[in-house]
Amino acid sequence: MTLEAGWLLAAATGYLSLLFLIALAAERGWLPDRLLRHPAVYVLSLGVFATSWSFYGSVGFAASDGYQFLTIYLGPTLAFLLAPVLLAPILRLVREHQLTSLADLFTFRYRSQAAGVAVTLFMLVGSLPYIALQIRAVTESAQVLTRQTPPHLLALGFCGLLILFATLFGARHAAPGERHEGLVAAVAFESLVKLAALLAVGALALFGTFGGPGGLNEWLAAHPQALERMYEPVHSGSWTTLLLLAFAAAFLLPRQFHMAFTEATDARGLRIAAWGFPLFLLLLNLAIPPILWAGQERGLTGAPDYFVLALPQAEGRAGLTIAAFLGGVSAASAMVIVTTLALAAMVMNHLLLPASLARRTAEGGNLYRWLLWMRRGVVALIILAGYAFHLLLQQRAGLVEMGLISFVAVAQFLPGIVGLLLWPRATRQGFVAGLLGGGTVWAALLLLPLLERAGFLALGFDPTALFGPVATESPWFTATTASLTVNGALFLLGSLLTRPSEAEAQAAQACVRAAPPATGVVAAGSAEQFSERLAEAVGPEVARREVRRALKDLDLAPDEDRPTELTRLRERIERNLSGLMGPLLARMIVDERLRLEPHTRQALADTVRHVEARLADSTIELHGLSRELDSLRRYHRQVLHDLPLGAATVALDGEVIHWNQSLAALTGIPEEVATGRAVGELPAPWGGLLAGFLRTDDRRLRKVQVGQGEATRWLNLHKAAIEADRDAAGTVVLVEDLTDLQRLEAELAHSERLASVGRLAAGVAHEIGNPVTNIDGLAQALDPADPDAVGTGLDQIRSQTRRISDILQALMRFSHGGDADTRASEPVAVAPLVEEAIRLVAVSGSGKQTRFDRHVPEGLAILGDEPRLLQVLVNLLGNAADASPPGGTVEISAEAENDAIVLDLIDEGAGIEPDHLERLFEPFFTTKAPGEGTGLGLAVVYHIVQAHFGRIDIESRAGEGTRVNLRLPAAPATAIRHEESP
Amino acid sequence: MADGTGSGRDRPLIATVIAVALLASPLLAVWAQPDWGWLAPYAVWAAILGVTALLLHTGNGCGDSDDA
Repeated sequence: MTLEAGWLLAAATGYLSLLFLIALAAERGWLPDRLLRHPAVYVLSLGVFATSWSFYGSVGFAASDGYQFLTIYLGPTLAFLLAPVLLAPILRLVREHQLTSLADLFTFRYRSQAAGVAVTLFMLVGSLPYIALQIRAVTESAQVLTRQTPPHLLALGFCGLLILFATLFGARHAAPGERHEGLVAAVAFESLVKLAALLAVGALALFGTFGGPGGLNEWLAAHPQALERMYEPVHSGSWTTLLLLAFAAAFLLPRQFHMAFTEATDARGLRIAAWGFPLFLLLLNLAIPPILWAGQERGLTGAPDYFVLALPQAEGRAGLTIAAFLGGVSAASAMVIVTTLALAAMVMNHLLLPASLARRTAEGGNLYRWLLWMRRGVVALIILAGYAFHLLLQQRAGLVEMGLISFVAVAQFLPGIVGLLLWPRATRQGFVAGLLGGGTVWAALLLLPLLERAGFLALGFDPTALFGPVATESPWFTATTASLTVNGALFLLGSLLTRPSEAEAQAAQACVRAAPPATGVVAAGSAEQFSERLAEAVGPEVARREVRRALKDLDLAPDEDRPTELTRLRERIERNLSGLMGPLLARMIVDERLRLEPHTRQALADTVRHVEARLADSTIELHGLSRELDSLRRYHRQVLHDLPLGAATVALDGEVIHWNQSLAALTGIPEEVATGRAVGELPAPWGGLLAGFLRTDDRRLRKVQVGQGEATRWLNLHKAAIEADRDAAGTVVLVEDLTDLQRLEAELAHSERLASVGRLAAGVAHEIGNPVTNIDGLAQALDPADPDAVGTGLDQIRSQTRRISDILQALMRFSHGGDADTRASEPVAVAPLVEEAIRLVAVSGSGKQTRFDRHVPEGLAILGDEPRLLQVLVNLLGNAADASPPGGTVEISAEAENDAIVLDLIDEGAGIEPDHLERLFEPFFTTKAPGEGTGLGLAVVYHIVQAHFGRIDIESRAGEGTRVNLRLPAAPATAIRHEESP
Repeated sequence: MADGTGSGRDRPLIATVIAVALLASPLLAVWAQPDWGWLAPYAVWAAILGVTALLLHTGNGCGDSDDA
């Protein structure tokens, strides 16, 4: 059965169109996000490892090297089993620093553009044979099926389709680091197709040729040499060498690096891939031995490399033959597309951009568009270069040989990876020297002989002759050992003979643990200034968009100006630019344009916010002690956050580190606005209040009155020093809102005052009644004929009305105590206050029969609220009068003592029982008869005295009267006067 | 690990995985015999995978402790 070339071309075109459709569906969101981000898609996308070499070449490799062909898949198995220690740290670095390729990774670690250039060139040269291999596999497979030499146009058409696909779906974003959903979906689908096709051909071999597993076993029993040929090379071949090469290729080949790290969604995918990807490879290779033996049984002619196609063709299964052909096309196309994209990112970041960015920026225009089209151009050029290599090497080398040449090339990056992950002492000089040395040996032993055999050049000598017969017997062992030995030795020597620069040392630290936050202050003081300064390097459009993007990533406002946030913004911009143009160029631009000023302030706020942000963003699961510590940290943080008391922590330099939700609610300043800002820069009145409090030596401020809009708040402020190590020192501030309490107290006092007014009412009425009677009498006695008598009468009437007015005003002042919001602390003269209290109490029933003996010097003043102080005295004097016998005396004395006014009120009453003394200030406790007292009087007195930071003591013995001692803060003038007095 | 690639309790687990993986290939290479049948290499391969998957998912989840 032969197939027409036209049919094959149509099938390949139809299949690639399906891929276009899948990629388009993924990009347009027609496929559910859950599916696209499923770990299985990630695992299948890693199947790009299995190229046409695996699809076709494995049978040929098994035919020549038996089970040794498995090493190519056992190597990746080993690499992925070691994912937790090998791949996860690389993934962390790639994601954290927006690295897009192996060249980016090495440039980041070794801080060397030369390293980036060397890696890119070496990778480019090393990958071309591999790309050529894919093109060749597709054309040769067509040749097998059509039994005629395929036209060059077929290869060229295949390359054209690949260029189209790669530029449409692989180079959609200017930044290569951005995920290409369509590409990943298409590559995952291709992996499924090649797995299904290979298993189907395997099933055909097993059941079609041998009649099932039993038939195969019988055939193997009848042909023991078939199995022996499979096992024999395992004992004598280059098992370890091939295993090492495949191990390196599993994550260092450009396409593997791109799929495993650049297109990765999260660490969970890698955890699944640790066993999922090796499982995929196992299934893929399960069919190889049956296909080989079935081909031998059927007596297929031609290279075993293409038994996968020849077998279904020989069996007359046209559909399966086409499926197998498409499986091969899948394997080849996925490899070429992903490899080319990865190489294009390297070429852009390490060859083209460093050379042309400055000129391009100076010329103006849209840099993103330029980057995008440059990438597309590079993609096309690399695929065409692969095509040229394919033309050059036609019919000169087997699939395995070409593939292994690339494997040995990427193995040259192993010493660099060891340095990156495990050896901070490694230097750029060592890395570049090792790479150049190993690369030279690789070129001499593998590449140049390949080119010579292709007739492309004539060396005139055989470099492999240097190694004797072993180089011919075990070429891979010789080339791998020699190149890696030279590479490793130069890497080691170069690193030991030089010292890592400061930047290298920092990068080395970042490679072994999470990057520490940048400290210091960015010279640019706002996001707008960031744009202006960046515009000088990357143009205004890119600068504006990158700053906006970084602000959005960090959830910051466009007018952000907090120093810590600007430092974070700078760091974010560097990472984003790294994804766009590589780590070194990004760092150079950011270092030049957004310089960090040396700053002496503590980095506490930076560190805390950095750690908090990292832990909040992290989706990892911590284990063991780390998890317990993290739980503890979250618990303490939550306690602080949910505390029903305003709480803030402030670094030594005055920067707010924590701002809990109660404080946010109290002040109206959200947490994200307050944190990272200098405390004095917080909106009024809070900035001034807190900064002033932090400056004072007082550990607490009581009853601070703060105007907030039209409302007034009453606060207690407390602070304590955080005496941790020097870097974590600072102050914790607690803000206690007393406003509601203050309001309740005021309402209670007001109620009690009104009750007192009620009690006083009878006496007041009586007191007013007398002058009114007098006025009436005086008015009647007025004789209009006697002007002198009229004048005298009117004077007396006025005197009586003044007396009424005085009583009423005192009552009014007493009953209207004001409210909490308008209450003020001001000097209140003690003598008039006592007189007014006596005047009010004296109108009550008991007050009338009591003599008030005062010893109150003039000039004493209390700092307080007059109506409330009056209420205190009225309540106390009223109680004293009530307790006193008729005609008894209540003695009132006052004196200044240090910064206080001490008032003593002594009555001659029956005294208070000791049991009652302890309960006197309890609300609703009274010793009076029901209906005579509310039980609130002394409770209110106590609260008012407390609110004035005063003190009240009551001494009493039954039958000996009672002494009330009041101590209230003196007004400053009094205190000064007192201090001046001898 | 210092970079968070595994807590202290993960290390023996990771070491076990590495040892199994490293040892399995040479074992297969040195001791593999035709008497084992043609599926023997795959059986060894599958066994290694099974053990590793079990360790990775029932251990301390070494793969997750990195913050990538």
